[in-house]
Amino acid sequence: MNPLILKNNKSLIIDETISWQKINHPTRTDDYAKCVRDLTFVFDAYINDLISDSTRNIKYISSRYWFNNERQIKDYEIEIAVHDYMIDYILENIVADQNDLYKNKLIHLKSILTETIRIGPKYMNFGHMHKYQYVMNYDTEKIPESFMIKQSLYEAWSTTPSKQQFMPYNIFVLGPDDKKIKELIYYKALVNEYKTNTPRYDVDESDVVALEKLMVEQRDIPLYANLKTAPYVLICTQRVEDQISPYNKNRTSLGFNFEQTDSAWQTDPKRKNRGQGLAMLEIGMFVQSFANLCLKNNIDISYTRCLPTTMDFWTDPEFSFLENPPQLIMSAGFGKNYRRESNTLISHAVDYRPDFERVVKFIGGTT
Amino acid sequence: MFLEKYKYVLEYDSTATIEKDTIDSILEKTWKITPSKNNFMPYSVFILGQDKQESKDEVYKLCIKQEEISNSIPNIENVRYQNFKPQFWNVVSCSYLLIFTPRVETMPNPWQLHCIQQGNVYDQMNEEKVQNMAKVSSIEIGMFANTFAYFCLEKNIDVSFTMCFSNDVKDWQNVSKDIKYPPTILMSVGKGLRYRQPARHPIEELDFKPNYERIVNFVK
Repeated sequence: MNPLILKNNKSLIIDETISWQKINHPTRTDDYAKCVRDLTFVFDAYINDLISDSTRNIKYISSRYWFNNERQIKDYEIEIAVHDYMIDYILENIVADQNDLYKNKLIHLKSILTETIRIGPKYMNFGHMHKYQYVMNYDTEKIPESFMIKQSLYEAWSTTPSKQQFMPYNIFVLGPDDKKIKELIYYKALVNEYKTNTPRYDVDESDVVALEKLMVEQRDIPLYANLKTAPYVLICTQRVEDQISPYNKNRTSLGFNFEQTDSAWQTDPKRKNRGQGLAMLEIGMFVQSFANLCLKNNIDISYTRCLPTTMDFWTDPEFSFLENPPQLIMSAGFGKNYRRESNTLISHAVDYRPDFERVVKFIGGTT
Repeated sequence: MFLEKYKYVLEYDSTATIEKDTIDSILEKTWKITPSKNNFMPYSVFILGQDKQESKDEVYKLCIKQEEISNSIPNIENVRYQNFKPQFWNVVSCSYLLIFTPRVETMPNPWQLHCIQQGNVYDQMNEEKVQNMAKVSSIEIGMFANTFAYFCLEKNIDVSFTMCFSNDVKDWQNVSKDIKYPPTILMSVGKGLRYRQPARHPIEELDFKPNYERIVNFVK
């Protein structure tokens, strides 16, 4: 079935559904414009999910029926009846001669919608971060299903709050086949570590293999060597918004100024990058949500921040997708061995975090 | 704990009481499970509690000051907010206000000391590199704040974030002399009374986040 058939009949389908509602549930509402709007949201979600072979759009739209653990409509059974009618109408009148695969998909999407209206969205539980351990090597034989990674990314996107809804960052995802790019990132981190710390060796920095050999011999295997075995690597960068939402356009016309849309710093090094701090903060929020979802599925994650963070270090053609330099790298996969197992010197007795009271301070007298 | 329960609070119920022990235990749980680069946790979380109304009022003034500067509108309360309050009005009515700032570590743990002796250099310990280190601390503050939000929402405690405030550390001395660096983010905590959603005006319905595909890109 070509989703275009649905798209082309959108107005007809929605009008028919509204007419049915007027006849069968005449007292439900007078505000039919709102009904049309809401049906359109759902209808567009169906089409987008059929096109992208996903369920994320309908999951997102259906979650909007709930707020703060409360359903936002009283007569939800009528709401479900309206949606049942719309799908029945489509199946009987619009796509009756199409193949069953898409018809079944449409029925499945509707069942997600009605189930969510009934019992609420399946929220993510955030109790999995205690499973976090830094990975030294990932299992290269056993690889997480790409569906799990995609689903976790989508959930992280849909649930992570963002100031003024700008989400001023990009997450570039490298998959199991992108070994060369991951190795390039590893070597960039290696050179960065070499330049940051001491001692220095009599070695040409551009000969990364020789540098690696010396560093492993003289120091230790770098933690970020996990990039060589990680099935998935996420590159997090700042993003400048160039497609402002209608709401923020309206705010701009009222004199509001948004740092997330300022791109002057990209071409003029003298200009302050005002949006950077916010981007970093929100990247932290996003990756924490993603980490939790991975750990929930027993997929390990680790972070790398030992990186060159100016664009001149990322000019290789392999990184042509980058507009701004990476600020954080995150790896994901099934861990084979972990940092604390690999070196018995690094016990919790010597490598501990600052005491709670040194990080969290109630201002005097606070009750 | 449900992050989808998150909704921006315009005003908290200032008569509601949330026990300090509840907030303290959520903070401790968050501290325990939030990862940190090299275990430094290069940030501080300052908390203004239910008895710190004057300090919260002071923070509100610092938010107003910043909005005036960023939008080049003097006396912005009279110009923009005669009929309604700004969104960050919630810092006045919240039960707890968390102020996150960068922190320079002065007491490295034994492993960090060992690594320093081996030649490792840590910006997290360098007062002069606070600006540079602020990138790392911002990422980690984001991680901490997100986890804390989940645990609050799990207990039906609302939270909201504010990023519009003066970044001149001198301005913050009236709030607390312990604040040494400009804050990164403010997080208000309490029982919500009024929320930003459902929208009061049709244009607010059009305040959506960028499409998934514009944020997450699988490299081809």
